[in-house]
Amino acid sequence: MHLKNLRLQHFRNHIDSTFEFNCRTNVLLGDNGHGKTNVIEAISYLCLTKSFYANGDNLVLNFNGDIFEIEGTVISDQNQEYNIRIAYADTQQEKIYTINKHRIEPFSSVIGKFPLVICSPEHSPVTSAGPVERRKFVDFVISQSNNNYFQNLLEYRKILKHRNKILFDGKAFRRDVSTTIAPWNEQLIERGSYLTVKRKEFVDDFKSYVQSAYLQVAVDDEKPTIEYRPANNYGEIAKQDYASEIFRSILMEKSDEEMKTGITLVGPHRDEFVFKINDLDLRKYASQGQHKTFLIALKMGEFYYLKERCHETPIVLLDDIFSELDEKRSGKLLKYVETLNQTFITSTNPHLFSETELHQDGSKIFYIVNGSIKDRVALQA
Amino acid sequence: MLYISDSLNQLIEEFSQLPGIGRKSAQRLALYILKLPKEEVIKIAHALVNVKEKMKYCSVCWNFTETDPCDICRSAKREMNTICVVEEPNDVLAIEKTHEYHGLYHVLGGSLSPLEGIGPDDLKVKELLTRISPEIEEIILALNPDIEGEATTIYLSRLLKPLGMKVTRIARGIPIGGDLEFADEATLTKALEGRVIV
Repeated sequence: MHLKNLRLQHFRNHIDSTFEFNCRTNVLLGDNGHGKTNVIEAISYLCLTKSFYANGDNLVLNFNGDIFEIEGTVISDQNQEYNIRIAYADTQQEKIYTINKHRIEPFSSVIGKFPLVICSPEHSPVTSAGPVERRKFVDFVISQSNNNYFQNLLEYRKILKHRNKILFDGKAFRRDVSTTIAPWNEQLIERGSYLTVKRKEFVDDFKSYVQSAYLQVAVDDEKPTIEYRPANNYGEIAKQDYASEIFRSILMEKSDEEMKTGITLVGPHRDEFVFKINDLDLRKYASQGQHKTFLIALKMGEFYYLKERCHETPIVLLDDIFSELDEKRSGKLLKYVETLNQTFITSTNPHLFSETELHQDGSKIFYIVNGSIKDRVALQA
Repeated sequence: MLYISDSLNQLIEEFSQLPGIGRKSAQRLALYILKLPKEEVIKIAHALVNVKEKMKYCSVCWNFTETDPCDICRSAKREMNTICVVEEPNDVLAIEKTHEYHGLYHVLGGSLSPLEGIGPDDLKVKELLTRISPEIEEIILALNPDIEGEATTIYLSRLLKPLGMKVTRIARGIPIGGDLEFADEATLTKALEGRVIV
């Protein structure tokens, strides 16, 4: 799919901006703080109903407005046209999402319809920080390719909150919770083992995508891999029945300890995914360059993974990722990225894009100054 | 609300507390009330007070009623061997509309929700257990298909099954007139799980 046009009203520092995009590469140039990333963020709103980094819709609203509006036309791989509109009214705290004028609810049902691959400096913790970042990454990729997974994940999180409340109260008031917790255990096990099995399947498939992407972007000959370490399983977990049996027995084992700590100690919310290069743990042994390369390989792997499973080619958003790469790596990456699909790149460095072959095969550069588009240059061959 | 009198403002305020009524609708309703003849307004006010004074909970099924026990619980036409357990009085109305169910009801008054502090003691669970007798053949659990309703279903089924009667739950799946293509994956998965032999 690709995004044909976009209109932002009262969104961040854009009062009213309209874009006509190229179906391949779109470069958004401008100094920091002028509103390049806001355009990328708006695309994330259109495709995912929310921002990829701001927590809260009122945060992206322009200071002088009560309502923000984003509207865009997406053309699918099958050449279907979707007019997407999202509006948020701060006074009513209401958000409305429509596709071709039909109101869509719940928002979670949109995830995966318009797949996106986003790479921004916000994502660097995926390879360097704690396991929660890697779980977020994995959940996001699987959710976009399988909406049922996403629904199970949302339910699992709710069940976990209820269950933790029971354990917390049990600890605080020294209450026996074995009968009140039982129904929540059943649901935790059912949803949890589903998530474990799907994550296992995902890692098994996804590994090879990352490996081939890594070869494309890496300078050295290295072999990356991903290892899944589920918290609720020790052995083989190919079947859900089996996975839930193991989950149940570990949950029983830990029940005394859970009463003491007052929180849920086993389940997919404690899973770890270990990233390795040449069999060495990335977090412990890798250089900064290897971290960056790995992250880009993850994102490119995500692109091909989603492309095959969503039956729709994802849009690629690259937010400020060239700033930290040297020119040789940037050039190599840029050439690779252009082969993917429609791509949106933000950068502060105009030289990068004038000296490459970027312009020859149809691309567009937008100069963003203070929330509006200045001196738009279309360099179509 | 600079130019609106206090009494009108108060009415708008009260209306906007009602479920499904926003500020604008509240304003419209209040202005409508203002235009009505006084007798009409008194009739409405009277009906409001009346319903509050006369309606109470049925001491058997905990549905709203004017007479205790309620019409359904007293009716000789109902099948006394089946109890359908629901969350709210609304759910009774919904099932009654089908004209397909002829048994009794039991209204729990909600579902288990530890986060909101709602445990078994806050629902009419004990009251349900006192209704169990050898004549009861089946308990139908008709709770909402969310995780709280699901937890309540599991909790009740564990409580009821050892007592010997049949415990069932309503099926989940595709709505009539719905299009398979537009069903969400979670519903479709549940519908597949609950498939029946034709």
